[in-house]
Amino acid sequence: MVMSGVECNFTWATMSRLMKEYRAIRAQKEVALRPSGGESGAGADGDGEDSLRAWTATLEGPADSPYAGASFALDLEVPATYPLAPPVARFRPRAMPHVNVNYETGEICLDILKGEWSPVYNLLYVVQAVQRLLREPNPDSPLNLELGVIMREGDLAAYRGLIRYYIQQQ
Amino acid sequence: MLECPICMDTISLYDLHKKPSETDYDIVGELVPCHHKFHSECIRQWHTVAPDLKCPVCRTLSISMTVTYDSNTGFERKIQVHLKKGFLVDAVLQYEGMMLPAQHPSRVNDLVEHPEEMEIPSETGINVGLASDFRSILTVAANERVESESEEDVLALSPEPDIGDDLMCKICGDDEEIPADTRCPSCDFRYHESCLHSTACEVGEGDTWQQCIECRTLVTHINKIRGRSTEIPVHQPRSVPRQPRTAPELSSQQIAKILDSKTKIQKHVRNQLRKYYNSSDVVQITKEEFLTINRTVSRSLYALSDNEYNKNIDYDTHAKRAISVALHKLGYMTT
Repeated sequence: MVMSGVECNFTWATMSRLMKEYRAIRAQKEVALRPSGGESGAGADGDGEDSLRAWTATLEGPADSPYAGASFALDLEVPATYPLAPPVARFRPRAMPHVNVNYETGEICLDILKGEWSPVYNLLYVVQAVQRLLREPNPDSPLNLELGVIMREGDLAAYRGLIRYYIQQQ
Repeated sequence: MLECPICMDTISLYDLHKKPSETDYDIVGELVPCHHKFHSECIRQWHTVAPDLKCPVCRTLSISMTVTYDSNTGFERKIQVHLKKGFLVDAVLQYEGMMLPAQHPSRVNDLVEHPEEMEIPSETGINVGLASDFRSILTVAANERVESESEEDVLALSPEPDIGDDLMCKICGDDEEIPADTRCPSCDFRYHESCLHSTACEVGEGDTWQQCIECRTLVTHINKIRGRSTEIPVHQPRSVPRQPRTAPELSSQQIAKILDSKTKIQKHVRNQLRKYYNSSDVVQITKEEFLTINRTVSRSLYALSDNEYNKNIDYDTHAKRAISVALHKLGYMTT
């Protein structure tokens, strides 16, 4: 199997921390967050390193939001310099209609994933923050201009309708 | 149990009552003013990439950091790192790192350079051994005088430094490219002048860079002339008018007070140490060993409270612990 040129050289410190996070994540039930390649390890070498590089969370739409009843995949990619650098979190392309998500790419605008990142945050915290973003969209930094405009105009019915429309498209 | 919020590993804190051999203590960085603790290395790595000096836990802006480490004398030591004065992170990490490896240079030079200390310890002899420390205090206060004095001292008393043996800089650990060109006449540690400079700056004591980081004695240059090595003081007499000194002049009262404090502190050390000298116990140390251990342990104790006698400090326990470390290094088995 050819690795697509992806450099993955976790330091011992990063690996050690990821293993601790992995155990903590497995021990909890609230957030569905798993290594993308499954529990057994995605790496062909089975050394476990590659398997902790990419993670996938399944977010359930909050009951009191337009996302109720739907579920969304959130992909996390852990950089080599983690936890000094934040993980890259994104939804799948054309899957998440949200004011702070670029609909085409799935890119998320969230302060803690950028300048407000702190090394004391962890993968679980990031997923929970994105989950909160579903309930509390922030119209001040829209990546989805269409939804941003409707939201700022305060047309709640149109806002909910548009999101439901997008979700049903899938 | 304390956990470092960055690496999520346990922070092993210094514990006076644990045997020194039991645990490797972590170098701990505590941010001021918020008091959040991290492994020093973890927080300093974050500082190299962080956009600001806010605490990663509470976002309080940090002004300085108290670094606590277990020096190889078996003591907890603290240095204050002023975070806004620059980011010589490498220097500090190395400064901390070099405290850990067991570097125990011979202390023979101590005895050769201060023959007046070679007296049999007794109750009345508490003040012996203070001479060198007393001088280093005077040094800060009266630079000019000591310059000429120390030059004479060094030329007259110090043996030829053993060039080629252990020229490693105690700060950066390197001797490959540039040999360590300064030396502490007291503990025989070698330093690069530039390393002393940057370390002093990083810990916010830039004007004390000529001092040995271990015992604060003024360092001297090692010059190799015609195959024969000589040592000259690092600070040459200046022909230009002197800048106003930053170090305060010490009055005779202050000096007397410091002497008094040191005498009190040293009494604790000697009381603890005498058990190994005068007793018929398993461990029997020689007079030279008594003096050497007394000197190094006492110096460490002075540093605990900045040369002042502090009633709240448990000097006996500190002394006991450091003595047991010192004995251990000399190959004695203590229980």
